[in-house]
Amino acid sequence: MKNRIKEFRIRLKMTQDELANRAGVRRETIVFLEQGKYNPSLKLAHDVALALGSNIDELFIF
Amino acid sequence: MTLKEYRKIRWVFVVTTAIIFSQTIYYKNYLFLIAVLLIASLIHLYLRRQVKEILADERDYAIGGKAALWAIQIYSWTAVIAMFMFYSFRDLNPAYEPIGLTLAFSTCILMLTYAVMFRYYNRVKFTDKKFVYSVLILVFFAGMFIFAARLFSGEDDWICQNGRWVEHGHPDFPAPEAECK
Repeated sequence: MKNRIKEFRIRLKMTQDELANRAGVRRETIVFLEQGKYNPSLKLAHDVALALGSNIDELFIF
Repeated sequence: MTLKEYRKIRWVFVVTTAIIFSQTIYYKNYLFLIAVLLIASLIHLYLRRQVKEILADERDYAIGGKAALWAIQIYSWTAVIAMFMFYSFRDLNPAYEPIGLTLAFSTCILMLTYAVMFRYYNRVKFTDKKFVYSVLILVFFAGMFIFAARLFSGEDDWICQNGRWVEHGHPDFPAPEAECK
């Protein structure tokens, strides 16, 4: 699934580590998410969106 | 403790435990073996709790699930094929039969455990968690008791029958030198 996580993260000048800490996951998971190689659960998608001050609809391209 | 430190300590800890574990088996000190296993598990749990970073997340659990499924499949097929081979050639070496049976039973136990765990996770609410933990603890201790009873029961021994020592089970020591009356 394509997403705009990297775009939002860079816009907020946030590192992958920081985003991982805020979303409660490991940094590797953020790497996989940004590359579109991992489809997150609804909860994780929500947590990442929250950490980036966004929402799921805006962040993930269905 | 950071994740890197934890991984380094864990590596040293696992190697040390493995060395002690193998030594207890070599010297047939089974009580010490159980104690080592329990203490090692407790220390490992303590170490995990000391890590402030996230050790695993949902992606790790998803990968873990897939890896476990593959591991079960690979082990089961390998064990079944090896079991048939050992059983077919049991006339060549008497040790082949127990090895084959051990492989067969281990596969059955693995499949059974998988089925039970799958059923547990697949249900909306299996039952009260406390009850499940209690049952698991009971099963664990029952298993330990059976293992210990089997170990210390002296079932594998030499029995005096009709004036000579006869093997009962598979004793790993020679027949008594005392006269059998």
